[in-house]
This record gives sequence, C-alpha cells and structure tokens, in this order.
Amino acid sequence: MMKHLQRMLAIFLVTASFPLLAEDQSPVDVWQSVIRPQFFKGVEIKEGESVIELTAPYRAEDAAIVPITIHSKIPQSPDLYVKNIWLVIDKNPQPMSGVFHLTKDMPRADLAMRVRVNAYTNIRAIAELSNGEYHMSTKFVKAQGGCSAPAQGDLKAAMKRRGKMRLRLLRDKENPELEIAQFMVSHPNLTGLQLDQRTRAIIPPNYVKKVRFTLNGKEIMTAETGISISQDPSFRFFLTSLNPGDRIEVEVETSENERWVKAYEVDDKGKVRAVAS
Amino acid sequence: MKMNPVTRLLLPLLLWLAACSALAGGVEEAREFNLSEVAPGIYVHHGRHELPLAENHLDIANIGFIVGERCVAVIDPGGSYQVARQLKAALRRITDRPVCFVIDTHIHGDHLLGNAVFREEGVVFIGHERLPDALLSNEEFFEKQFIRPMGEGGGPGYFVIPKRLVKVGQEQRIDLGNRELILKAWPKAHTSTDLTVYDPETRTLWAADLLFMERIPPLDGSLKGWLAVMDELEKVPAGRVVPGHGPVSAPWPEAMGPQRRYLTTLLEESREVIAEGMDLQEALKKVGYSERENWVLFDDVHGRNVTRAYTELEWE
Repeated sequence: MMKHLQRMLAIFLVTASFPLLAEDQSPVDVWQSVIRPQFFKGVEIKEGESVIELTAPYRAEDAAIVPITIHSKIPQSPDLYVKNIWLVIDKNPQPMSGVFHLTKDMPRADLAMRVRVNAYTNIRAIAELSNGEYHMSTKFVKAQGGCSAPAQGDLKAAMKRRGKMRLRLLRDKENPELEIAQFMVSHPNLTGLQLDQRTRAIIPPNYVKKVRFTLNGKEIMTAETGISISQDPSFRFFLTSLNPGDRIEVEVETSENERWVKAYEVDDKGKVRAVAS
Repeated sequence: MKMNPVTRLLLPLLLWLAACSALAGGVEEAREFNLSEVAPGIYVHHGRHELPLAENHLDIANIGFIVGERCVAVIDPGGSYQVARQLKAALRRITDRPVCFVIDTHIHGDHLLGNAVFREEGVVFIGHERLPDALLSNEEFFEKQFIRPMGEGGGPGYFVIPKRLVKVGQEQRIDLGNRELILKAWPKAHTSTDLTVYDPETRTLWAADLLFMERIPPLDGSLKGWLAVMDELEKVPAGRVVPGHGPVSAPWPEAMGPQRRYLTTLLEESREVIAEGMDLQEALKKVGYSERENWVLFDDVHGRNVTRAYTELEWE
C-alpha cells in the first residue's frame, strides 16, 4: 500500500514539472517515455482484451464527464484475481489517473467511473493479476479541454456541498447473485488548470485522492485518484450479495487532507441506509 | 417592356449565368444578410442551423434590434465582428437613430462575440448579473476556439463586459423613446445567464435561447431549471416570440411545445434509467432517442444533454 502511494506521489511530481507537454499535444509518447518506465519497469504487459476490457466512447459528448467502464473477463477467486488496475490517460496533464486496489472478496474486477479528457488521447487500463501477469486494454478517445473546463455550476455551492456521499445498491440483471455498488461523493475535484473568474488566477488543485471501502471491517476496494476524475467522483463496482446487517464503511480523503467517513448498513429489504459511523 | 424573341428565350439562361458568376465571386459575398421585420420596429436576422464554427463566423443565431422613437436597442450583436458589422450596416439602412442599448441575452459566443462592434460613447451594454463572471471565465475558450481561427485577433479589447446588470427575478425597464422594453433575468435554465426582452407594445417576447425551434436545444444550465422557467415564461402575455434559433418569429406560447416535449422526455427517461441503476455509458445509448427525427443537429448535441441531465438528476 505504502509503495503504491509513493509511486503515485512520484508520478504526480514528475508530471507537474511539464504540464504543458500533454496540453500542447506534443508528439512525445508519454506512455513509452514516462509512465511505462516509471510504473512498469521490466514488466511484461500483454496487450489485448482477454482479461480486462476498457470501454470508452470514441468521441466523448462532454470532455469533463467521459464515462468509462472496465470489464473483467475472469471472476475474482482466491486462486486468480485482479489485484490492481491502473488507469492512464496519456495526454492528460497528470496521465496516471488512478490506481484501484481490488480484492478477492469482490466477485468481479469491474469498475465504472467518469473521467476528464484534455486532448485526443489513448486511455489505458492495466490490470495486475495475482499470478504476476499484467494485461492492458487501450482505447482512443476524442475529446478536448476536460481538465480546464470551468466547474459545473456554482463553485462556492459545490465547495459547501463537498464530502456529501451517496451509496446505492443495485441488482445486476445479468448476474442476479451480485450487487452493484454505486458510490458518489460531492466534490468539485479541482484540477489546478481551471481559472478563477474574478481574479483570473489559476484555482489551486483540490481533489479526492483516496476512497476506501470496507465490508464488515474488511477492505474490499481502495481507489487512489487524481485530477483526471470528473467533478463529483462516482465509482461503480461489484459486491457479492449482501445480508441484512452487513456494514459498509466508506472513507474519503482529499489532496487538502480533508477526510470524511460514512457508514451504511443493509436493511431487511436489501437496501443500504446511512448509520452512525 | 418590349423584348426581342431571342432575348426573351435567352433571358433565363442569362440570369442563371449572372447568378453563377456572382457565386464564383465568393459564396459568402453573394449571400445577402437577411433581416425581417417581425413586428413594427422589430428586426430579426435568421441564423443558420449549423454548428458553431470559425468558417461560418458563428452566423448561426437569431439576432437583431428594436427601434424606438429616440434610439435603438440591439439584442445580441451576433457571433463575430463580421456578423455584427453586417447587422450594423443593415440597421443603418433602416434608421439613423443612435444605438443606446446592447442587450446580451446570455453567455454563448454565437450571440455576443460581436459586442465590440457596437461599442461607442453612450451605448449601454446590459446583461444578466452572472454574465460578467461567465464572460471572464470563457474568454480563453472563445479566443482559442473561435476568435483566432476567424482571424479577428482577440485580446483585451475584443470583449465587452456589460456594466448594467439585471438581477435574477428582477425586471428592468428601458426606454427607447415612447417604447419601453421589459428585461428579465432568469434562474439557471439554458445557461446560468439567461435574459429575456418583452415589448408590450407589439406583445413580442424575445426569448433568445430560452426557446429553440427546429434546432436541438443544448443544455448548459439546468434541466429542471429550464422546465421551471418555461412554466413562468408561459405566463408572459405575448402574441409572438422570437426564438434564439429557429424561425425569426412564431406564435406564443404554442411555439414552446416541441422544446417542452424534448426536455420533458430527457427528464423522465433520465430519471427512469437512474432508478433502474443504469450507468451513464448505458444511459447515453437509451435516453431520448424517440426525439431523434424531430431536431436538426441531434447527433451533435443530444449526448451532451443526456450527460448533463444524468449528472444533474442522479443526486435527487
């Protein structure tokens, strides 16, 4: 865990020193020259969609809210499971967009979220399996300006609302034995590329850097994220079917070291309700 | 008129050739700047149903002016200096009364990038209370996306920030000389800077982009807000409306029907898919497609509308 945090920090620092590179759509291959050597040095990465498949729109409707999904082709089992998924958006100012630490207690390693896309780019999902294999699925997305787009709506109101969370459990029609957890946290997720309207100065970055989920005290999924995640970060993932009384706790941490915790319990109808944490 | 038979036979051909040579001289030059008087003293230029592009100089919105006994109020000068200059020239052919007000109906470039063409001593620019902030935060985008590609320079002098502002829910009256216009600023709807102009004398409501006809309405403010504002607007006792896009004039309030149907469909179907637990990627394939045949530019705009609707409604 610490190792991942250090790695994340390292890449944030490296990319911060040449933010213009990605914005100018420089021909430099960020993946080959920066990300791969730094995160996956000496690692063989299999390209293709046999293990995970990334889905993203070829032409994004809204560059600040590009929905992506990562679909796993293998169930999570103690023998073989996806341990980590990295999300890389090559041409974003901070290409390493998130690392998702998954567990064998999740039924499947599927994820869905929304990201910002700043320039025409490859988006990559790289999965590390428990057997040491790495698999990468890549999609090209046409969108521009998602990181510098002004915050949707009133920023003051969004700052007031920040930290408000919502968790829903949904039944998956195709896999009725599974639950979908749909989590959202209200936060403007400021990128550091947006302008203050009055002063014309850059608004400093302020984003959700970590979301940790536990089920009955046991970690099920942790997301470490950066500025590429859209305003009001939203994550969707699978859980095995829950029983009344099961307790889910969510902990959110931001780059400004704010921290919010919320606990939920499954009621008799299979719905979650917030309880005292 | 007497004409010899050969000329008479050849006339259509000659006219056709003349038209061709005019076209060869440049399609843009040959195209006349259209302007219609939709009610006494109310002139509207019809914008084409095209995407906002440097190539069309953002001549894609309905813009125009209202003439009083003392002076003229320009309502949306247009999407570029080029369009605004054409509007100004057309205005000068109609009246020599001075322009005293320029009213910016909202933040979108196709309506206000031509502002500075009307900047003169004594001209008061009016906008929604949130328009100055919105302009400041969009300048860079406008410059990069439109102004520089259009070859209009940009820079500090390009933009005009309205000084006289109308607060949300408040009405302001301006007098053009025996002709009073009522301006009203609205809560977040099409954008967060929407302003309407009502001319009681002719019962004309200049709704600007609070009303789209023919062309798909883009959602840049709030879906629930827009529908609520439409309910309020419906109470305006107008006989005709000038929509921001569509015909230069249409009967009121019937003209709102198709837009209400589209936005209501977007609202209801978004709520349905959210309740079903469908994620945004799936929602983008499902919501609102029954409306596809009803709107120009549907494929270019609808997906973004669904994204906006979904992210607005998922917190309900």
